[in-house]
Amino acid sequence: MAFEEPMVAEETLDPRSARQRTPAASQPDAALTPRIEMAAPIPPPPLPEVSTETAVGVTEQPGRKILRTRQFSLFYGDNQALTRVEIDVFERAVTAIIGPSGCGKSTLLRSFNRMNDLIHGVRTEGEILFHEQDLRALSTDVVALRRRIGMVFQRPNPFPKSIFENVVFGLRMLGVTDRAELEARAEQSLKQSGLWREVRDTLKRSALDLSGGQQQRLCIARCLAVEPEVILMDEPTSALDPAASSRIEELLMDLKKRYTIVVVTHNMQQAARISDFTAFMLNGELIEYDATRKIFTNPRVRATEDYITGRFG
Amino acid sequence: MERHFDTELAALREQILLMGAHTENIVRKSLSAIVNRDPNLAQEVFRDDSTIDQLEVDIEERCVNLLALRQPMAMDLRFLTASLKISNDLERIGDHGVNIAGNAMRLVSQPRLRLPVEIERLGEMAIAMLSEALDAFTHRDGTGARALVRRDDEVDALNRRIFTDLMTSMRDDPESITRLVEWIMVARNLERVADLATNIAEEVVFIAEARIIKHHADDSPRPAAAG
Repeated sequence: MAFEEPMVAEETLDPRSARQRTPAASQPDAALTPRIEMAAPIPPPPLPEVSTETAVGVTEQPGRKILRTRQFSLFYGDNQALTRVEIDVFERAVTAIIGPSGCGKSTLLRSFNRMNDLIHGVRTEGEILFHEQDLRALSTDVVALRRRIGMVFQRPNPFPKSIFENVVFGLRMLGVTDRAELEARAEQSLKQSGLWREVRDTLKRSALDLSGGQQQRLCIARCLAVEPEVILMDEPTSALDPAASSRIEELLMDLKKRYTIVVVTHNMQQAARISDFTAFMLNGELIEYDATRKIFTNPRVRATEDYITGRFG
Repeated sequence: MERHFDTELAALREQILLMGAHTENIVRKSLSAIVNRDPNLAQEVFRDDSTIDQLEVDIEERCVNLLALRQPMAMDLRFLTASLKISNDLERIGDHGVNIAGNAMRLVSQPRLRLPVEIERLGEMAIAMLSEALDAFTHRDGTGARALVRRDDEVDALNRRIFTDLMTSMRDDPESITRLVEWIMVARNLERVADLATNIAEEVVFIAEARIIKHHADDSPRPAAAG
């Protein structure tokens, strides 16, 4: 718990010690002068300025931009679902996409690993760049792409196989047959997803016997086993009870040390708790995108403020 | 389950303790400036106060962010709201230190008078109360904090005695009235430091026990205000 460690100790009685501590105290000063990325001054429309403070007021250098959309629009037949969306997804951070139902947040998420290709009549304009390469180029190998950009869905969807076979499913598809390697990767993935201690002795049991929260962590382990760079999550906790949701949330904050996570959530409070950056969408447009701290304490756009304060949506 | 939020709360607590350490130092230095008639120490106090002011701003920003982003409940919520108040109390203690340093500067420019030992004792009591309030905060020690609240009466009594004695001295020696008024102000500022340390102790009781004890609210039969 937060309070039990010994405090700064008796040395604080010494005036010198307090002075020595001053540099530590002044660290958060940086928070007062956030690094702001300058918006482009001429068309195409400027990118949203993204301030880069974490929840606790410490400014951090954001990682590289791993995914970027440029003037990205998507149509389902005649219906336009996304309108000229421009967003940069930073590496090794959690980016949340929030907005009311039908705002296009899941459509945008699914565009990041071309899941929308599966839907008849979908047409897109603009670009999505992954490591600066256009995702939509015909030469993109969709299977290879989805290995690097994995996805976890709203409802846990384990295969009707053993726990072990679920985790190594993707590896087998990639042609890995070495038993020792499969076992090592399964253990590593299950550890990363926080499930290992609960299933280590029952790996041969059916994945369908697990609880909903465990099944979702299993799906995350299955996603991690192929070592993706980006994990897309579509409402990953909406089918789970509060305790299982908390576990997933804590897990995401651990996973971001190694992975880039983009999560769509209806739950604004969840976005506030777990994400570093938040995008607010409305009617297919990206209304505001900024550091989560900024979005939830002082958004720039009135519509964002109205949404996060519950005035509409 | 260890929560990431716990790390953030621990960092906030560390920052409040750091501010507490600076505050304790500032009061100690200002008292020392009075006792030793040391203008250099008084100047240090003026400089150190800006560090405390900055920490108050940082802590407030941190608390607001955590309230907005983590939606704290129960103990966490009490800890955050109490932290906002405690940092405000600490900042005001720093201001009292600055006032005392001002008294010291004015006293240094006048002939020396023998300082009543009671003023020094009052200062030591106030500093001890502040230090113990911060200890109680560290350990979420509601019992210790309650004991501390009761000690405020001793400080008030000593302050009243100092006041009476100094008023008598003024009658006996009108020449020294200016200096004696400075001492009355020093005692008054030290008494306020003890008051604010008491406030901190009351906040610690709120964190630990979810009971509001200031203004004797705890004496009433109403149920506790927060759970």
